[in-house]
Amino acid sequence: MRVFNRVKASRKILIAAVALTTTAGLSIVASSGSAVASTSKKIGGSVSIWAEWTSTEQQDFKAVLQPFEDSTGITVHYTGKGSNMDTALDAAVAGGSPPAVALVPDPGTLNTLAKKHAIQPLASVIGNEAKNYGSAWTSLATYKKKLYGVWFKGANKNTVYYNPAVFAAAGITSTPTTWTALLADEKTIANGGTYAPVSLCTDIGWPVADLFQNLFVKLNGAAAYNQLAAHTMKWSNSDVTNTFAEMAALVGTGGSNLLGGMKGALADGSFPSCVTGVFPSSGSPTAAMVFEADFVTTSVPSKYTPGSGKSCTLSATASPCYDTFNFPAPSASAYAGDIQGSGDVAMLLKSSRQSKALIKYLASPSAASIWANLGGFVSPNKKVPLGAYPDTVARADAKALTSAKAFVFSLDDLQVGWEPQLWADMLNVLQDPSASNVTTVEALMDKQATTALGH
Amino acid sequence: MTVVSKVASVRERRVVALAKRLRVSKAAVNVILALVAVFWLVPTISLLVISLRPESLFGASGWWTVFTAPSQLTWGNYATIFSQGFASGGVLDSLVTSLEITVPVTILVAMISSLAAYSLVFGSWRGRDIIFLVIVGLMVVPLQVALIPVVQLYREMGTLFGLNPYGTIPGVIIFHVAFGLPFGIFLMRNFLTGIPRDLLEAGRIEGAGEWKIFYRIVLPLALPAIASLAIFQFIWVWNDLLVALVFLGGNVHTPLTIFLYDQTRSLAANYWIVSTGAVVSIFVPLIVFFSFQRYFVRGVLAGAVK
Amino acid sequence: MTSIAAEGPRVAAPRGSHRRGWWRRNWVSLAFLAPGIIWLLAIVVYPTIATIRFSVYDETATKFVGLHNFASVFSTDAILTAFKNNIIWVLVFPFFVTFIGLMVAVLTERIRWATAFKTIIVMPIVFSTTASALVWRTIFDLDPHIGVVNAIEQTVSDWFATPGAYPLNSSIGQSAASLASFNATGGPGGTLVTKSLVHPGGTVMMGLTRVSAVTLQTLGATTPVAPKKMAGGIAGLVWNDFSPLQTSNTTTIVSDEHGLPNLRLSLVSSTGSSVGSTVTNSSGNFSFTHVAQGSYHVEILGSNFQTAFVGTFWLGSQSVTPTSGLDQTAQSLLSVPLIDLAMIISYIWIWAGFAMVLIGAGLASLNREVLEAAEIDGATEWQTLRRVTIPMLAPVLTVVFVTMVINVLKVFDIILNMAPGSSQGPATTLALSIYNDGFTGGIHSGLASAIAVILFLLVVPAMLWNLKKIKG
Repeated sequence: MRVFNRVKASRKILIAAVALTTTAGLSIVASSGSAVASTSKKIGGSVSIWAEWTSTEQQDFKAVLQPFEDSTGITVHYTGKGSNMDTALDAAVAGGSPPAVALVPDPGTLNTLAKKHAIQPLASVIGNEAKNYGSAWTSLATYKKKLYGVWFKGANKNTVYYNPAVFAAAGITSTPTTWTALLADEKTIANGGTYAPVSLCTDIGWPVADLFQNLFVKLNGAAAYNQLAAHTMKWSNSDVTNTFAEMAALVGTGGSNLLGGMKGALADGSFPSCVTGVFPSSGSPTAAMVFEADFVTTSVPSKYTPGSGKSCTLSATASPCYDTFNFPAPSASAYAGDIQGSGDVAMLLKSSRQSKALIKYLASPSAASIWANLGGFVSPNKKVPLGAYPDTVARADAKALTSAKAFVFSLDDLQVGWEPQLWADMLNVLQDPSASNVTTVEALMDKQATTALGH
Repeated sequence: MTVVSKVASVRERRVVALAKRLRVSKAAVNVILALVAVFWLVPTISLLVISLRPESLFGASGWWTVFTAPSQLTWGNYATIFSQGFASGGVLDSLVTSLEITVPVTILVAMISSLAAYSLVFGSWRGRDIIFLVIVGLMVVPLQVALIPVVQLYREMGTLFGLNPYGTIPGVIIFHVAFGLPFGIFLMRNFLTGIPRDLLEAGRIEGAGEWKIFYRIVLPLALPAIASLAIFQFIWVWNDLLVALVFLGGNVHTPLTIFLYDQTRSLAANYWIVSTGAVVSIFVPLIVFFSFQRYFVRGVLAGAVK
Repeated sequence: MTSIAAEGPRVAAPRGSHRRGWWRRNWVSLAFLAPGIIWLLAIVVYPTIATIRFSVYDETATKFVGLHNFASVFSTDAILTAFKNNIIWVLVFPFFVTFIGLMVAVLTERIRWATAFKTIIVMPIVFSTTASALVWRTIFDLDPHIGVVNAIEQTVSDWFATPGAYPLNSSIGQSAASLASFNATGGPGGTLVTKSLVHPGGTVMMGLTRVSAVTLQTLGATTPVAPKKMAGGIAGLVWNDFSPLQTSNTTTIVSDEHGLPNLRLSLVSSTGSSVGSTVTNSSGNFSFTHVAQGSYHVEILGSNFQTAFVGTFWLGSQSVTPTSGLDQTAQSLLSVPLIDLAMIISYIWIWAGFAMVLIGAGLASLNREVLEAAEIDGATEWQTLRRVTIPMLAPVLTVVFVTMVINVLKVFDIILNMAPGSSQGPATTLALSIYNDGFTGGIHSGLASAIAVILFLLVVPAMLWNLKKIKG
């Protein structure tokens, strides 16, 4: 697949190249020209950078780095760590040979490293580019009032991916905008008998946590969410219990709304294989929807075109499509506009002319625009023009992320010390949503959170 | 034993009866063992077949249908994974990395263990047995126990000598050698105790020094044991995942086990590609195994039964 | 160079020169030993001591916390789960692998193709556990099109209970009643029965949903036709009451709906006895002729919905022992997740060759005469094995057994690679916990070190026992 992705990546780069020469791309060229010009004196030398991106994403990120290397003469050594990013960085810091710059997927690591003085404050490095980010993002990269990170990549988790042809086959003509409508559509699809409503990603529990978090913020709002994240709200709070109940309704009794039932969801729910049920690379889909953040796009086979319409087919080899809708909120919710997401934050571990130039470049809209153009990427950077995104799906996604009324960061990523236990607890409730089990697990979660966070 | 006192005719009858019973059970034994052999072969065959079937057939029909439709077989998956050549992140690059780690470790462990075992067996100083027991005692140390401190030790080496082995192939090699030594010394010592001291004494009388005796007399005799140890060590290190995961996390070149682990982690559903990588990964140890099977078995024996 | 023969006069040697003599005699020997010793001290001994030290310090390794880390080990459910799993491994794996090793070793002596057989059994040892775990993950896959175990289960299960034309999907908890849409309700024995009564000369319609379009296509279903009244008989229709065109309409026939062919029906009188049976045609229509006066229900037989086989989730964390009603901690201690058994089977596949080789060698060194004498004495083979062979092999068997105990105390990569994400937590072991707590998601070096120390303490007695046996 890594190899398949590479084929896809080169195709994407080609598209990007074409886009850059068209009018839509001109603004990007203009802006990137100016940003690069500010660091245009050839500096030379080299700089190392780590991030979790491998395969397609690695290719895309290298495309981002290319103009920087060309204009500054700095050679950038990029290493994609995949799921080992945390491990590798922890060990590298402990081992005394960290990269100059690292992008991590959670503010928890940023805080830990800042506490250890393993990373450098950035205010003086990036200057005005700091203003490109909304306050929610800035505060997530701040430790003891100092800015330590640049949110290069965002992830909007307020998305539901669906196969338009499956919706059409079930007779659903418009995507659900409310929670009730979503549950009704699930029933319609189930009644059709051919497709499962949902292919649920379970993995080691993080996708279930994402699902829970989406529901929680929509039901209870960002303020309550942040209290729960800080454990100033207890897990045994009725807000949590209600959210679990909604989650159980979505999943259906015994997982009746899930592809393969509960068993199937647990067996084949690792990410990204859960995406293949909805967007298979051969044959026909078996499920209609999959809930996860916008990075799902990267796992949708290249045959699929973004958007919906009459021309979308059920066959993976004819003209299949993919599309998204916003994760629906309960109809009367005052918090429908609150969204959950995550991102990758760039940190400076070794200070040098080269590494500072690289950090500054990553904070610029031009760097983000390049990847935006390649797809599967959203930037929290407000200065990145919507025109930089290649299609309507991506544009809607980016707009949702930068214009959200309230933005909250993935709660599990903030639970340093007990995150894996939280995931296990989520899987536990998923499998047994009975009131008695929910009570038991909530008590357990409070205990775990207290042990890990000290309160 | 008691048979001696028995009447000859009784004994003959019993032998005939025994022979009959054996003949009957022989057929049964053949059948049972044939079934066991099939059971043992199924996983390997399935791996091979999955790697040779196209993606589109993977979830659609079982790999076993290939026996009725051999036309399913294709080299497509291999073409795909080899298409990257030796570029980093590809399977061939990982193959080379695995060799770069495994070969030096094997040579170092064999050399250092032989020397140490020689010293422990033929040295004349007191306390050899205790040192041997302590070394053997180190076999009990699970390597997980040492990981965190060694990472920090490497950092200290970085600050002291400006040479930090963390994240480098030598760093992995150093760790593997250390954890290969207790077993290596144990195995070699057990073998060397079987060499008659007279042989050495003869050498000494002729005026040969220790190095010469080791090199000329003991080493040739110990060659089978060294071969066993080397094969063991090779296969262990080749198949290691944990140490590489911890120490090579930061390297662009990773051994095959990490290659497979990454692929399974990120693409659980794409077994056909992962299986192809797995076949590549078992290829080298299989060659080693079939070439040196005799030594391998001897190594197993020397290792545990004395 | 030194040699024993070249020693100087001993008697008159003063103390100092005696020591010098010792050095002179032994320095080469010690130099031979030195590289190994230095290496071991630096990378094995020192780190082990450091880990023991870490285990009584806090996460930053600066503050002494006594046994606090050990207390958290025993109060953390996730780590108790790891303990539990290690116990399961230790109780089950070494016994079976030794037993199987013994059996094949004894039997191999009787066959001509012993070399080939041994090669086959030994081969998996050389595969990486990563690759083996991958293979076994496919073998135990839930989907019978992928996993050979579930494919066999399916074949067997289909012999005993042939799936109906419209098999229920039990993986999502379907029941016949959940298919009912119009004028149908769940009856006894997984049947569907008409809600309304029907009389001779009347018609009856039943609507069902959740029937897969793929099934209908396979059965050649055509557009349903409204049943026409027939004298002295009952005409009817069973159709798939679902149309993408009108998803809310669930009472009438819509143009793109389909009849349900091949349904076996029964006509049930008011006394509950069956008075006739029939099968629907491709448009889902049916009729009962020559029906006596009275009121009837039409029943769709349960056999139509006989569940299709759903694979066993071998790689799942569901417990094979009952755990309901237990609290969280008791559950983590008492459940035996199915995946443990699947992984143990896989691990036996990897290691049985090792046991066989060792035991085979033990057998070869046994005194043949004793065995033959026993057989000639009239002992059956089983008696010989039990009374003579096994006792004589006892030292070897113990060594194999204990080696395997040590091996599974450290079991790690098979879990990391074989368990799907959702089973990683429930299937964890001590060695895996050390890795997860020590190297992923924020280093907990204190906790990880405490687990490492415990693992160390568990391994030591087994290892010492083994060494004693090997020496003796």
